[in-house]
Amino acid sequence: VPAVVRPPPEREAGTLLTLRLDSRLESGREASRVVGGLCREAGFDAATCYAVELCTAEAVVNAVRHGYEERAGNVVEVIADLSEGAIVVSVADDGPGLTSGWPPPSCEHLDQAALEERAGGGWGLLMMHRLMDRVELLPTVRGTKLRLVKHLRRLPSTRKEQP
Amino acid sequence: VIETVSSVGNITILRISGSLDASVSMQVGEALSRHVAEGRSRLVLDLQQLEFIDSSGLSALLAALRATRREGGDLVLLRLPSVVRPAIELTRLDRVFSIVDDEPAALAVAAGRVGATAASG
Repeated sequence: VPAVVRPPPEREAGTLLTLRLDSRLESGREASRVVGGLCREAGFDAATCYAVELCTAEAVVNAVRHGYEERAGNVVEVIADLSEGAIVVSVADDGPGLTSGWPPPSCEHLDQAALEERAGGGWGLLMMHRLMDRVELLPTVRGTKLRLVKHLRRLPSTRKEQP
Repeated sequence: VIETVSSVGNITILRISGSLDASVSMQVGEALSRHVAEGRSRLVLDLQQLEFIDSSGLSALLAALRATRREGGDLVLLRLPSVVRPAIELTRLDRVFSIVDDEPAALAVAAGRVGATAASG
């Protein structure tokens, strides 16, 4: 994982939205609904919208759990940026970040019994890696930022006709 | 988000609707655990109205599955919406859960009369 140390920008060019959410588990779904809505409004297919929605929720919950140990009253910042045919969702917290579980373990070679016995942790990171085109864990001056990139496929009906 | 729909013999049918995410997964997991603790270890979860499931939700279902099987029962997922299937398929949990599309088949699997593969098709 490349170590890029830089302060998170207040607002980047092309930014669609910036959310500053309280560090509660409910914030995961809250953020994902908003970001998923943006994808749908932009006319992207249902599978892509759902993937972005799910991974946004996972990233925010990750920040709440690993950044703040589920203590409310802290800020999780979500920035969504739509440019060059991709949606980029950055989720930043001021906590110490993941101390384990990165990169996420694969489940490809687990048999049925091993899958059934596997404990809770790790599914979220695994899904992010499988559903997104790129997932980066970046340390920042204040904490940790998880950056998700998904290239988008527009629905044919929403594509603008060229003159 | 979770409610009991009916009982058929020793099988309990429950419905999970809306969003099974990190903020409610513990509550859902506890509700499922109560069923098993009270002797109802053959569960069918009707997921037709499920709109969203994240890794916390999957973990809650997985914990419930293990609990039912420890007691000699099973937990069957009924009418899994196509939009949430990728979460289960990507984690390979489709190989762990019994997933069926109609209620008679779900009841047969939960009763242990037939495997999910045979019931599906």
